[in-house]
Amino acid sequence: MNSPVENRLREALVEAGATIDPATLMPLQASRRRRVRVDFRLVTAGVAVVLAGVTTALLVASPGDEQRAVAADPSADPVEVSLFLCGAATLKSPDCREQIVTEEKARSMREILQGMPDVTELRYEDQMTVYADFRQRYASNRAWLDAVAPGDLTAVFRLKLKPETDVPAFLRRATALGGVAAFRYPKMIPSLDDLKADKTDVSVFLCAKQAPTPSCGAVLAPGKPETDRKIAKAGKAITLAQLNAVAKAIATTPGIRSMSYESQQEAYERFRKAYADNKVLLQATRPTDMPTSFRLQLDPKADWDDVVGKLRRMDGVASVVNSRCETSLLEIQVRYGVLVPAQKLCGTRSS
Amino acid sequence: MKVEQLSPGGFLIRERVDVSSIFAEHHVGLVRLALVMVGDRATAEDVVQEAFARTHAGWGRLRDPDRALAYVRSAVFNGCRSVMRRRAALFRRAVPYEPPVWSAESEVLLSEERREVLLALRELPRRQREALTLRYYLDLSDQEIAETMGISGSTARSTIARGLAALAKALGEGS
Repeated sequence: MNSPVENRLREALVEAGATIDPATLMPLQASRRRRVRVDFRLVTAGVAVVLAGVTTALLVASPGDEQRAVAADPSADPVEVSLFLCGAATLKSPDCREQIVTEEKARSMREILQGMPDVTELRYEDQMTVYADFRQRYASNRAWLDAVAPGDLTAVFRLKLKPETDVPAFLRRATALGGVAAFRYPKMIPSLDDLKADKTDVSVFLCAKQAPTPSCGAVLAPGKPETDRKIAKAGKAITLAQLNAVAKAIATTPGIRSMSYESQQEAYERFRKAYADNKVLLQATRPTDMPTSFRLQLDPKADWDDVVGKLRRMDGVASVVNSRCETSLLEIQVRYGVLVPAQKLCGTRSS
Repeated sequence: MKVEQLSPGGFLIRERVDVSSIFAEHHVGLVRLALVMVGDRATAEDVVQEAFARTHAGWGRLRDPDRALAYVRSAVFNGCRSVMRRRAALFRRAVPYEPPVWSAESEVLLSEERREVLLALRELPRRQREALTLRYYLDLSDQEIAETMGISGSTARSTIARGLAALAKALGEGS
């Protein structure tokens, strides 16, 4: 009944499909958040283009001892993983199935995790410990302290795994225990230390040819969701006159200590270094995908929001990003498992 | 400060568990479907992950739990479509992603014979390609294919027939 073509087609599809080994699949997370990915690229290299179809799974760095992790040979480092447990804050996550992890459940999870051969170190932090750590870390920053309440946080297991651990398989086993609302795992993003070491306080990204952002004159097709809207008309690159105007504005704005210009090639180099581990992302990204930018250092006493707001309104500017603020957002997301709305605290995104 | 709310309400617990288990049960299958559509594994995994998260968000809209698998499949399917669309729009010049499984550069080694078939499938119009994938990879009925693709049963049938004929021609086989 089947023609030869049908048989050939069926066999080819089956064979292609079979190239995926089920054992290597990352577990699904109902509560994975997409937005952080995008924010994060803005912070690292300012990739203003939407890298569609590229997967940087949201495997965000777990914190732990960052200093040590950076200093040592990465191949021999233990793998650090944080498992955020289901608490009041994450109750709505379908991964939690309306169940809060009780102390008793946490104890039994701990025993099971400790019994796993890959686990070399395990630390449990309850909600108040996590909150105390947060308060201490952001003691000097009123806005951040106001933004996060103890109830937003949940207890967490901080694990260290043997370097050779098959992490996806491990995470599958760990999440199968139930009660894990989210996990964070470092592999795919550069370390927070690198971000913090960067001298740039504020980046002013300039419009490139075919820019996809409305600030560069692009027109988005109507539709939902917001993140998937198609571009009806691409934007325009910054003109020479506009570039001069932006440079002049930067030079005359009080509170800016220094300024440097970053070309596409320089941005790409930085990006390549930051994402050395992420082959897929690197393959998908070309130097021409990078935006050019002015990188600014600001006086800590100046009104940063004022500077950012002023530059953002200029023609030919795609977006202005407060890198310090975005880095902190990311750090909170990574270390404490909560997502603080960026617009509210950093308020610097125009696209 | 608010933790993202992913589900419409507490009374939907049971159904939510259902969708989780559908994904758990069919995870590999869905990723494979996405793979044969988009070509590379990383994107395929991401498409399924995204569909999973979105299905949770949109669960309230689904009336009939019996159709959950079809719904989930459509979600993955639509995810693949939008990946392909975005690629076409944004990466015309750049190397867009991992070499697809049907290319000679792929790390995954398929025989020349298989690649030839998959490449010929690539060349078909989108609807024919999709319908053939659903029929010959998932063995779906005309009606199921129609539902997944959002077309009528008879359109599905004729699309498959036309696709198959075109494929046979491309591969130099009379059928």
